[in-house]
Amino acid sequence: MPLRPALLNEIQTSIGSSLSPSLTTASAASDIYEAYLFCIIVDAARAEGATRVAFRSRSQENPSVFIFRTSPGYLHSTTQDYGYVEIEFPEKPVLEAHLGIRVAGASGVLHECDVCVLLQEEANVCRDNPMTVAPRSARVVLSVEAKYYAGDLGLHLGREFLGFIADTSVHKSFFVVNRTSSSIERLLSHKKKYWEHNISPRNTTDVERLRNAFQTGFKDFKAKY
Amino acid sequence: MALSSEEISKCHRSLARIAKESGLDWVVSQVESQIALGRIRTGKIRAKEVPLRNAGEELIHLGAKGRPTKFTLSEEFTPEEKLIILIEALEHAVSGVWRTAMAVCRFMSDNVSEIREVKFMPDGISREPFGLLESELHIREKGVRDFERLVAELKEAI
Repeated sequence: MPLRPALLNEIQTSIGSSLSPSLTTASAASDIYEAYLFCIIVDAARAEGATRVAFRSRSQENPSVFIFRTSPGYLHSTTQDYGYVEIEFPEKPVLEAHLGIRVAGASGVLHECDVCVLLQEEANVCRDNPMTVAPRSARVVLSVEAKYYAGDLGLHLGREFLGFIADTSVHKSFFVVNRTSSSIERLLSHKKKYWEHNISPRNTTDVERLRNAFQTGFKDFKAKY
Repeated sequence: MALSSEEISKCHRSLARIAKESGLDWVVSQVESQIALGRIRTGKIRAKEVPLRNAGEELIHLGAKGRPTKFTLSEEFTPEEKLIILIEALEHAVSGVWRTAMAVCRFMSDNVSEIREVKFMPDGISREPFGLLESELHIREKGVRDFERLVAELKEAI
């Protein structure tokens, strides 16, 4: 049976009414996805028993406009009043969750962490220093490499993630994507790295598994400190 | 009866055009890369032979000598598979992005008592900022549901 003649035109109309123009770009999709994973991490902290989870910016607590970065930046940046979350477990050092900050690898090279949870003590060193200082990766408890793709992911993304891990001392690094990617999954499984796929709001089982993995990361942090 | 290969290919071209006209060039680009790569699998072939390949048929072994050895193979996607790849890519780009944006807005409004807006702003480079307003996303929900219903109808017809 041929296609209903109006079907494709209706699809075109529905695309136009689904997304505002600012949300049709690949970069916007990636930025929103990083923010989504940020939310899952905060949720995992609560699930692991965080007694204080405070959304704030550099200048205020509980900001009415919460600003996420859309490009990698320095933690101390005052370009915008970027938001972050303070996470506190009983009798443990305070943590901070940030989006899109640069961290220093063992080689001294700066790497971008799409989503990053680090010791507040380290964050304060960066914020309070008059020079531009990047946090050390060994002080990063959790990091996420977030990939939002419509088509299959290129293997180079998996290789880049392995390079990030090789040069950094992040306690736990995750590679998280919104869909499947058999070649990257195979590569990272073979290398025994943390990864998750199909992470999107509709896939509740996969999201739950990822949240549990983040929660385990917080559990390990509590055990170490 | 399912669509013919020619109808499917025509549909693919039309849908790719629609995607580009809707500002989703990046989706078409990613899909084209995926299709160009082909379906990757491992298979055993005899290293000393040159297999003949016809579309849709098994590799013909020419009675060569040598043990079968594992190689990584690439197979071309069928026209139906190519169209499905494009449709699913559009699903990620349209309803996937909308749902993810809505999830972020809901989480932030549940957790930040005074929040009015979530903004995304570049740090030190020139790139367009954008914002998420839950109210605006709600307005677009019908469009998303229409899109999902219509692409489901399209997949059914293939």
